[in-house]
Amino acid sequence: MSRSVSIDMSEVDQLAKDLAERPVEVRREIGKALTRHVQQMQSRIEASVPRGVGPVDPRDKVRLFQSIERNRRRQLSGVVWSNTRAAFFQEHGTSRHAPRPSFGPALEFQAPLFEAEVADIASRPL
Amino acid sequence: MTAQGLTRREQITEALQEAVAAAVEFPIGAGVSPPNVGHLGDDPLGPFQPWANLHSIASATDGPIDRPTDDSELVYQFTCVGGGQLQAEWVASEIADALDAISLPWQIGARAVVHIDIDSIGPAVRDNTIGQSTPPEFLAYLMVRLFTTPIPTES
Repeated sequence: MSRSVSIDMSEVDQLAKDLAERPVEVRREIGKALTRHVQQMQSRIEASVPRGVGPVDPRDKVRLFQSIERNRRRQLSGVVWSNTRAAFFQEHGTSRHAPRPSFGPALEFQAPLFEAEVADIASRPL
Repeated sequence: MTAQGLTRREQITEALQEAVAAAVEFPIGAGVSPPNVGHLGDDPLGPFQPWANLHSIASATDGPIDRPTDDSELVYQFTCVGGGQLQAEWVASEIADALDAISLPWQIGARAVVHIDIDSIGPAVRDNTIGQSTPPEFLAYLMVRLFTTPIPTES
């Protein structure tokens, strides 16, 4: 019961097809942009997760703010996650704690920036 | 410039809470749990009064170029609480049905809700944060977006 958010545009069929036909330099640039945006999303989450307050799951081995990790999975897909159980309860709250979301707002902030950058890179003349 | 779309949000929140509360058979708390809910009595296997809490989560504005903050998108979460997994999921389903039944556009004060989008209904999970010695509670989450716009004034 962890919490993760993903930027995943790999199923945007036409975009994926278009990018596959672009020169390798273009795809490399988009890959770099994705890495940067996933890093920024992780930083944004780390900065906003509450420290020392909110629901705690006694079975967690690490503190939530120390548990945020990231990965790039494919050319158009990256993920930021926490393996702590508390991440889920912190994000959505419980009957005793109000939700204090960090993952959702970070994704809502970052995803449009990444989309705009991909569109910009993809529209550059060959 | 004042973000017009975000002013008087409390009217929208209150109307949402009242509309859902009127349509379901369990109490809806505004940010906190209402009284007389949960395990009734000392028997952990005894009756459980389910409920939901409404939380304001996020907001954003949009609009035409000359009034770029007139429209708003308001995100809410219903935290649905049950004594078992099925009960928590039932609470979420009842709220989803209540939201679907709202007729649009829905006028609230000087604004109208023109679209309601149920973003997600999360799976019911056991609340591990209350300790194993406490009778179990299960939580399901329903996220909903309300899109509002000002009602045109007659000139």
